[in-house]
Amino acid sequence: MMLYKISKNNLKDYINYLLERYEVWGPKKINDDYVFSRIENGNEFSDVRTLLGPKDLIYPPQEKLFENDFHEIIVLGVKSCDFRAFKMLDDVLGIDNNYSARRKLVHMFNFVCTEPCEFGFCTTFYGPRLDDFEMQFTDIGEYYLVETNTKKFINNLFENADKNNLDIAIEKSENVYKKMKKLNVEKLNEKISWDNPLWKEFSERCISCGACNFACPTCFCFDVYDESERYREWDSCILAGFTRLAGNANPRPTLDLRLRQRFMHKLKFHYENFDYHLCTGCGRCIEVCPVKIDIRDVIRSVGP
Amino acid sequence: METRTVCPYCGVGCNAIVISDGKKVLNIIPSKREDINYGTLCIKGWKGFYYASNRKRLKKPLKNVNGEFKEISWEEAIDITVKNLKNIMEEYGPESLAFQSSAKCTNEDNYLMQKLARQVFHTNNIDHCARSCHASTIEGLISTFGSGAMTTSIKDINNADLYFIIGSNTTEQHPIIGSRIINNVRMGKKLIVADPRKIQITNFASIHLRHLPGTDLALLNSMAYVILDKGLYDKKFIEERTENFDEFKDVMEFYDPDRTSRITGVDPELIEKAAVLYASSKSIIFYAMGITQHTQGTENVQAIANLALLTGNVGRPGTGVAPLRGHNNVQGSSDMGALCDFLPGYRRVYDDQGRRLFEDAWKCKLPPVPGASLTEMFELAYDGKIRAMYIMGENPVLSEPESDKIKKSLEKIEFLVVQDIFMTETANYADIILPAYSFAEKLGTFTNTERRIQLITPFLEPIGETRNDWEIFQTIANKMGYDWHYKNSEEIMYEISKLVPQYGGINYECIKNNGIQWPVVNCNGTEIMHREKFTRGKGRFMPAYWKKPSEFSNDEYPFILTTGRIYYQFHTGTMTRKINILEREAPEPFVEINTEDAKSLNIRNGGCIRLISRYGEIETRARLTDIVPKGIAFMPFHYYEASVNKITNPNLDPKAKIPELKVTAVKLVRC
Amino acid sequence: MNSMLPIRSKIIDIWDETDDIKSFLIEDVIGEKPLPGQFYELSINGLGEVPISVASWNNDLLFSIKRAGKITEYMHKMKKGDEIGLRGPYGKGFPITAKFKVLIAGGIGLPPARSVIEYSLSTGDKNIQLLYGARSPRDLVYKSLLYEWKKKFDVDITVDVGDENWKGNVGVVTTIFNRIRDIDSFFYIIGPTIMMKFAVLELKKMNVPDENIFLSMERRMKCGIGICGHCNIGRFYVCKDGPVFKYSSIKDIPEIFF
Repeated sequence: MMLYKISKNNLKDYINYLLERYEVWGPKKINDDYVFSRIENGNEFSDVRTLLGPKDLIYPPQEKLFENDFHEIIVLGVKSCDFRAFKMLDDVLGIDNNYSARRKLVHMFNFVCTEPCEFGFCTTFYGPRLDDFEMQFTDIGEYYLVETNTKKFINNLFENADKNNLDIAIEKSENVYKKMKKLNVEKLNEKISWDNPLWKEFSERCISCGACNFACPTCFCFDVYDESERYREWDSCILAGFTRLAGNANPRPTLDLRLRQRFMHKLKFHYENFDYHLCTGCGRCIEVCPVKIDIRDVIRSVGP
Repeated sequence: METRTVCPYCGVGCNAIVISDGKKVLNIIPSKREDINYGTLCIKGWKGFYYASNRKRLKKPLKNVNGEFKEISWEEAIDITVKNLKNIMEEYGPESLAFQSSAKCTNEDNYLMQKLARQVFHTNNIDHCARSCHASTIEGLISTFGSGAMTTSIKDINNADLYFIIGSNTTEQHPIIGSRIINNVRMGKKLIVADPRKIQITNFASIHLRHLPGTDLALLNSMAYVILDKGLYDKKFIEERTENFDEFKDVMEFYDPDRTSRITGVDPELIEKAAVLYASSKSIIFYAMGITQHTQGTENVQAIANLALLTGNVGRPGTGVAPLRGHNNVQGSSDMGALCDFLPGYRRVYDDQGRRLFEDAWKCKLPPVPGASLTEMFELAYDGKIRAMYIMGENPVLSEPESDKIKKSLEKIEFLVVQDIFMTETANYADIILPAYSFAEKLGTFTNTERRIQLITPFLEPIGETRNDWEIFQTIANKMGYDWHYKNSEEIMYEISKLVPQYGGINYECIKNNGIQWPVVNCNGTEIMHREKFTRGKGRFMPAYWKKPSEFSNDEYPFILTTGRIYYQFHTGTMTRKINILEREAPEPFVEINTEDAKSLNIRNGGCIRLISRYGEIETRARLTDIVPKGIAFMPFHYYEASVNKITNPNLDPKAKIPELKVTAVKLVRC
Repeated sequence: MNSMLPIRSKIIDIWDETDDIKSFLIEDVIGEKPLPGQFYELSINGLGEVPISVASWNNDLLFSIKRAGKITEYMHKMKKGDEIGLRGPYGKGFPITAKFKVLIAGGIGLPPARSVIEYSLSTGDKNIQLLYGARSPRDLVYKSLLYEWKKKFDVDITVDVGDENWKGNVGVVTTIFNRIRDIDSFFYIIGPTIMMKFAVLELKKMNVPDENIFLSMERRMKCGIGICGHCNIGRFYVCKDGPVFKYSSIKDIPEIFF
C-alpha cells in the first residue's frame, strides 16, 4: 500500500489532469445544495457529504434494460458509507448485466469524513475509513493524504507521504467515532420482532414518498415496465403496488406491514442471507424523510 | 448538467435539482432549503418528472381532418388558427371567443395569454382552472383582507402553536406542508382538523370535527359564536385593525353550537373546545377545496378570515390564513390576471383606474365588463354564443362538472385550438393542436402557494417541433398585426414587473437564488402580509348566514358525493398516468363508501357500483372503508374511465362562479 | 450474463381449457428440461412479463394460463404462430421422491401439479394421489387427463358449487381430505392462498409434520432471479428459493398467507 499526499491547492489541478483523460463526477454546489454531477473543471469539486450518494452512477434510477451504453468515469468525493454500500449491492446485483458492467467502469475515489454528519451513524457499522479502496483521500490540514494500491492515477502533483501523515489521517477520522454515538446492533437480527409497535407508529405519519428507499445507498429493489422498450426503475417496498397481485390481493395491504418489511429486510432478512445488515449507517433515510422516521429508533427499540 | 427547478405538481413548490443529459432526466435530488422542502419530496417529486421525456409527447402541430389528426407545419397551424379566430371575432364579435389559460404554465405564459385575449382579441373571456378551485378564496380574502393569497409563509408554520385544517387532505395534496405540520405537532403544537373524512392527518389531531359536507359556514360561525361568547376575542386588534365588527357580532348570535350541531352533525362540546383552542393560541388556518368548492365558497372563506380577524391571528409571525393552492402556478396564473374579471395584479376589469394603466401600457382600449368564467364559457358555447375556444394546458372534459355538456359544447363550437404537451380528452375535440414545451424545457417563473415567485430553468432540450407557449402567442399576435417582440421570457417579466405592483421591480437576477415572495418592493419580498395594515387598509368582517348547499340528500338521492384527489395521481392524470410507479399505485377509478352503507346496499369491496345524480350516471368499483362516514361517498376525478365530473353538481357560487363540486346528491346502486 | 433478456420463441398451439383458462404450447428454445414446480417468465414486448409455472414438458413447454390481468388478457387474444419471449426455468420445484405424494390442487393450481404427475409417471412412480378442487364443474381443467389419471392412481375431485349434472363431491378441497390414502406422505399444495391456508390448517389437525408439507407460494414477480425484491418473504425470494417451500422453513413468517 502506497502513501501520497497532495496539497489542497494542487487538488484543483489534479482534477483538471483527470478531466483530460476521463469523465469526472463529484459533489458540485448548485445554489446552497450539493449534488453529484458531472465536473467540467477542477474548481467545481467540493469535498462535502451530499444529500444523495452516487448510487445512480452505477445503478441509475431509470434505465433501458437491454441497452449497452456504459463508459468509464471517475467519481470523486465518495463517502465510505456509499462505497461500502456498493459492496453490498454487488452481492445482489452482481449477476445483473448493466450493474456489473458499470461497476467495472466506475472508479471511485473516496474522501474520508473527519466530522460526523447530522444524521449519520456509520460508526455503528463500518465507520468513515475504508480498508479496500482505489484512492482514499483524507483531509489532514494543508494536504490530503492519499492511500492507494495502484499508481494508475498518481501524477507529479503528488508527493510521497509517510506513516506520520497516515497517523494524522487516522486520528482525524477517529474524530467521527468520538462524536458519533455507536448503536448496539449485536444480535439485532434475532431481536427485531414482527410485532414491534414502531411499525404502526411510523405508519401513522409516513406519507409514502419512498424517499427512504431512493436515498438509501443499499436499497436495490426495482420495478420493470414496458414502454415500447423494457425499462427498470428504482422501486420502494413501502408502496402498496410493490406486492399487489393481479386481482388486487396484497400480502402487505397496510402501510405498517410495508414499513415492517423495509426495516426487517434491512436488519434481519438480508443479514440471515449474507451475515451483514443491509445498512451502512449513512443516515440519508432519516434526512430525506419528510416526517423523520428514524431507523435508529428501530435499532434502539429491540432493547439490550 | 445539474439544474435547480421547481416541481410542476402542487402549490408547495418544492425545489429539486435535476441531473440530466439534456435528453432525459438522470437523477432527482431534493433541495435542502429549510424554508420549503428541507431535503424532501413527495413521491410525485421523486418519480413524477419523467413524463417530460415520455414518447407520447406532442411533437408536431396537428389538424383534425375528418376525425383523424394529421401532422401539419407550424405555418399552416398558425395560419388556420389566426384565420378562424379573426373571422369568428369579426363576424360574431369578440365575445364569441373564449380563452383558457393554464395553471401549470409559467407566469410569462399566462401573462401573454391574457394579453392576447384582451389586447389582440378584445375580450375578457379568459379564465382558467383557478375558477374551479380558489376563485372563492380570491373573492373572499380580497373582501376581508384586500388580497387573496396565503398571508404567511411555509417556514412560518414552525412559529405557530395551533394548526386548524379545514377542507384540506394535507398529507395527500400538499404532502410536504402536511409533513411540516405533523413534525411540529409531534414537538408539542396542537392540531384541529375539520373534515368529513378520517384522513391521515387526523392521526395527529387533538380535535377532529367530522361535519357534513356543505355545512362549513355553520361550523365556522359557531366557532366564532363561542369565541365571542367567552370573550376570547382580541379587542385591541379588532378596534385598531378591523371594521364591521358590530354587524359580525349580530349575525354570529344565531350560531350557538347546540343549534348548529343539528346542521353540522358535530358535538357542540367539540366545537367549543376547538374554538377555545384556536382563540387562545397563535394559530394558522389551512384550507383548500373542502371550503372553496361550494355555492357558499366565498362566504366560507370569509368566515375563515373572520375567525382570524376576531382573534388577531393574522399579520404576525405564527399566525395567518393559508389557502393551499393546488397547482404549481395557480397562484401565479391568478396574479397574472388569467381571470375573466381581473386584470393582472387583481385590478377589476371594471376599475377604470386599473384598466387605464393597462390601456396606456398596451396602447388599446380594454373591455370594462367581466367576461365569461370557465364554467360559464361552456354554457355559452352550448347556447351558441361562444363559437371559438383556445385552450392551453387544461383538460376541462375531465376537470369540470357536467362533462357531457362540455363535450357537446366542444363539438358544437366552430373552432377549437388546444395547446398542450400530450393528447388529452379535451384535445380529442380540437380542430388544431399546437405542441408546447413542458416545464422541463422552459425558462420562466412559477409562484407557489406562499406567494414565492421562483425561477425554473430548462433541463431538457426541446423535442420535435414543440414551441414555448409564450412564443406561440407572440406569433399569433404578430400575425394579427400586433408588434409583440419579446426576445425572451425575462423581457415579459420586465413588463409584468412594471404593471403588477405585487411583482414590482423583480427580475430573474434577484429571484434566481431563493425566489421572492410578493408583494415585492425593490427585490425585497414579504414573508408575512398585513403586518401593519391590511392590503385594503382595515380588515373587514364579512359575516354571512349559512344556507343549505344547492343540493342535499333526500329520499331519491340519499347519499352525498364529494369529489377530491388522491396522492399518487394529479388532477386529470395527463402527467401522472404516464409514470409507471404512480399509475401502478392507483391504476383505477373507485368510490369510497362506508362499510355499513355498503352492507345495506349489498355491495362488496371491489364490486361494481353505479352512482346516479341529477346530471348523469357512472359505474365504477366500490372501495369499502370507514374513512368516509355513513351517508357520504368520495370519488377522485383523475380517471377518464369513470369520470366523476359527468355527475357532479354544476351549481355555482354567485360571486366566485365556482361549482359546488363537494356536494352532489347521488343514488348508489349495485350493478 | 444478462439474466433478464428473454429468448424469442413462438406459440405452437393455443386451446381453451375453461372459460378463463387457456393452454399455450410454446417452443422450448432454451432446451433445459424444467423440474416439476419450476416456472418461466413469458414476455410480451411492449407489455411486460408474467411468471407461469410449467404444466408439462415434452420437448415443448405447456403452460395453462388464467386470464387475470393486463398481460394474461393480451395473451388470451394471441394466435398460433405468434411470437412470445421466454426465459427460465426458474425456481426450486417440488421434491423428487419415491415417497407417497398427495397433490392438493385448487383451481389454477392443477397445471403445476400436472408437471409433478407427469414427471413421476415418466419414471414409473405411481405413488401419487390427487385431490383437486375447482369453483364449479365448468372450471375443471384437463378433464380428459383427469379421467386418464384416475386409471393410474387415486384422483378425488370436488367443486365449490355443483350443477345439475354434477354427481361428485361439493365443497372446498379440505372436505375431501378424508380420502387421503396415506397420512405419512409428502403433501404438495398448490392453489389460491386462502386455499393453501386452510389446507395447511387441516393437515396440521391431522398431525402431518411441517417437514412433509410443501407449498407453491405466489408473489408479484418481476426479475425472476432474486434481485428486484418484489417476491421477498422473510429471508427467501419466492422466485429463487421457491416457489416451492417446505412449510417448516416458512411457517414462522406471518405474511405467508394473506
